[in-house]
Amino acid sequence: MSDRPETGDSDVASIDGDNRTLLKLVQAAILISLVWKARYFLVVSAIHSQFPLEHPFFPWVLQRLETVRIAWLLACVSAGLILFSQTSKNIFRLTALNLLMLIVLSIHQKSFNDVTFMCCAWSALWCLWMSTRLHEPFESLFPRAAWLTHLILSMIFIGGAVGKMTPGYWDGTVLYEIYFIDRDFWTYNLIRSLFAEESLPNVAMWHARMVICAEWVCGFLWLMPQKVASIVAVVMLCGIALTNNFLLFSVVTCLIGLALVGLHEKRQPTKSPLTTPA
Amino acid sequence: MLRSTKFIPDAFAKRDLLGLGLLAMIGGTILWSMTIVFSPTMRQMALERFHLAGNSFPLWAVHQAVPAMYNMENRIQFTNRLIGDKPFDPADESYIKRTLNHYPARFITFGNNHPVCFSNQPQGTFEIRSVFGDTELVTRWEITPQSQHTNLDADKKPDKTAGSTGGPSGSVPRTMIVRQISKKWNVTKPGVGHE
Repeated sequence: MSDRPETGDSDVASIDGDNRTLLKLVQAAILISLVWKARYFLVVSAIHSQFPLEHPFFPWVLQRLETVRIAWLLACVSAGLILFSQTSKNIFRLTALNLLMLIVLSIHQKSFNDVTFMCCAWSALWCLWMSTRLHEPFESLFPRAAWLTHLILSMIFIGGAVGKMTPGYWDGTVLYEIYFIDRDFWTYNLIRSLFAEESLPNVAMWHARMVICAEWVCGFLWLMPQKVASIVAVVMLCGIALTNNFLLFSVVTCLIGLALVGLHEKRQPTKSPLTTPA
Repeated sequence: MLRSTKFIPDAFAKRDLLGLGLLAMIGGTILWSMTIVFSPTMRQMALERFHLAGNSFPLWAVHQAVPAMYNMENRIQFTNRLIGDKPFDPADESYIKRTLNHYPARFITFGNNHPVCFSNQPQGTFEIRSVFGDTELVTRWEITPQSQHTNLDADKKPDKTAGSTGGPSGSVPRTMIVRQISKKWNVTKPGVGHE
């Protein structure tokens, strides 16, 4: 028993603080993502108990309302606890639990459709990898960590861009039907007030093409210089939520957390008076 | 460019096998997502994924790792009537037609639409039509209240009192069952649009 505190202390001491800071930054972003729509999830959860529906495609346990409630709660609790954890073992275990719960949410009948969980799961996978590398010197780990965040972000943008390579998106029809006809949000209200009704399909077409091109550009974040990639990703992700739907911050916040990793600056060690030049 | 070429040698030097594994997973996922442009099989799998109409749940679960935000052209139709293979009637007061960004099956699996769809009758017919490139998948589903005896009994008549699902009468919610009734593929030739 007496060895334990020592082991924990030495473990904590040998962790590079900047590595831990980066991991906690992304976990905090995951927590915000999960909590952002808490009220919405609670309302939908209540509706599910009023309108129980079984879909035979899903295994029994992945149809249960209790499963999705417990998974969401444990995902939030584990992400929160990681922020206060110091030892690498605890951080690893909690990150693994967090990832497992996010995977459950990504394949559950009542939550599979919310890409919040898929984006959080990829972010949590990066955190799990980081939790195994906490003892590596920051200087050698950071370039790999930042590049992996940009690769994950590129993958997510490519997934969106490829699925739009179909005539309905390229000619703007899909986005016109979803957003331009009657979506009550400031951007679309503004566009409807600026353009005549008959020209809206044309505006939708150019908007759709801009979206597809922007997504393809962001699909190459991994090839951009580190800070440029991070800034481009943050601007793009914030833009998506600010111009389409504030609820989308649940999807993009964890990704913004990943993008911010590339902007990290190593903390300068405090200079001792003895080493300060006279 | 330099960053991308340094990752693998650095990871090997540091014995970072998990990092290399993560790189392989991300690379595999990117390739998987891009194959829908070139491979009819992968395109069909992606469409089935959105409809929850594939044969393998484990494969679908793995496929969920592939990002698919705002993918495909997805349109749905819904009515409280049990119409089988017959066409939807837009004049029907319970008829709903929408375009959805992704995961169109959510219209019935996710609860936010349930009060609109099932408050009056806990049953209905639901159709998803998704298009990617030259391939279209149309699936039709029937939602019926779980019967004490057999689900088929519920198909015969719309039961307005059955399982009022927490409505004004306050009776115990009755589980609704989703059942696929048809699945059709349409592949168009170059230069010829869908019907």
